[in-house]
Formats: sequence, C-alpha cells, structure tokens
Amino acid sequence: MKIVRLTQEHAFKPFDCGEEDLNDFLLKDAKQYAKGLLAVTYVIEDDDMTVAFFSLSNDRISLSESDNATWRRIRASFPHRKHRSDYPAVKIGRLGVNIDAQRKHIGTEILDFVKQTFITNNRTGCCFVTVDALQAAVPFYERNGFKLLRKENKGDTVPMYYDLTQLV
Amino acid sequence: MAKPIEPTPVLKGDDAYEFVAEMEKQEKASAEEKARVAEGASFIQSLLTFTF
Repeated sequence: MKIVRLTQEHAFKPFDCGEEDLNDFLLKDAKQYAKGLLAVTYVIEDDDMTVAFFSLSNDRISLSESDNATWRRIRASFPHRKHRSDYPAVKIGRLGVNIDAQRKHIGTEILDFVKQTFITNNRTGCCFVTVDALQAAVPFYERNGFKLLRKENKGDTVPMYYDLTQLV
Repeated sequence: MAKPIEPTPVLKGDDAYEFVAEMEKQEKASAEEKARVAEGASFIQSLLTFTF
C-alpha cells in the first residue's frame, strides 16, 4: 500500500466508498481542484484498488466582526484573554474509504496523520482541522475528537472542527 | 459532478460564543491519546511516496 499525491496523469484504480458524491469527487473533480490550486488530493492505493483518499485545502474559522452583541458577551465572559476574529485551519474537503477497506481504522489513521502533520512539521500556522461531514459520518468525526461548529445545520453536510492545540 | 467543497461558515451569535467558550477550556489530550494519534499518523507516514 502507498500514498501518492494526485497528479493530472494519475490513473485511478477502482474506487467505491458507498457514497456517490465522494466517488464522483475523486474520479471526476479532484484533478480540477488540483489544477485550480483549490485542493490537493492524496490517494492511498494498493495493487488492486484505491483504498482511500483525502483532499486538503487552506481554511479558517472566522467569527463575524460585525456581531457586536456576541463580542460584548465574549469579552464579558472571558475578559483575561484577547480573542481573534479568525483562526487558520486546514480543511479536509473530502475523505473517503473504499467499501472493501472500511472498518479497519484507516479513516482514523488519516485524521491522525493530518493532526500530527500540522502540529509538527507545519510550514504555516494552523490551529484547527475543519471538515464538512456527511450526516452519516458525524459520529465518526465525533469519535475522533471533532466538534460541531454550529448547533443547527441545514443541507447535506455538517461543519465540524478539531482543535489542534490540545495535542501540543 | 460532485457537490463543491463548501466554505466554512462565519460564526455568529451562540455558535461564535460556544466556539470561544470551548477554546477557553484549553483542554489537553491525554498522553495516551497523543501516543495513539502519533501511532496512527506514523502508519500513514510510512506509506508516503513523497515528502509531505
């Protein structure tokens, strides 16, 4: 098994993670994201199949600067620290594991790799990992320490985050 | 074509407050959790065919 960084010339080995949207992203869109410098996709494969993939991009968690009432509340509750209106993050835009490789913890190991990489040999500041989790994947991310960014979520995905400072 | 990667939403109101409150807890992972993360990461690291 090996990990390659997706290139325009990459020949995909068979992949099906059971989610059509994730399959489509890898097989149809990931190269376009790479070409546009929007996301870099890493592909884990063995001799026969694509085992898993994940796509990373720069991100940030921002707090609305114009929400004065909330800022007053934050300053009143936590007066001893300065708070920023945004924090640098790395976004896992997509993460999928082949059906034939699921339940072997490779998804967790990918998350561990992203966490560890951005607290050790990071080239830029980054204090959070963010992800838009499919509803069905929320328990998986929660088991891996991710928290909900919003109480109420509309749409197919749920924005979540992991605070990297807990590991340092 | 798959759905686009969505931008992370800007936090407002209770969501912004809760986010800051969580940060203020300054929780630290246990030594066991740190070791588990490092072990999982090293497995993926061993598969790399390039310098990350």
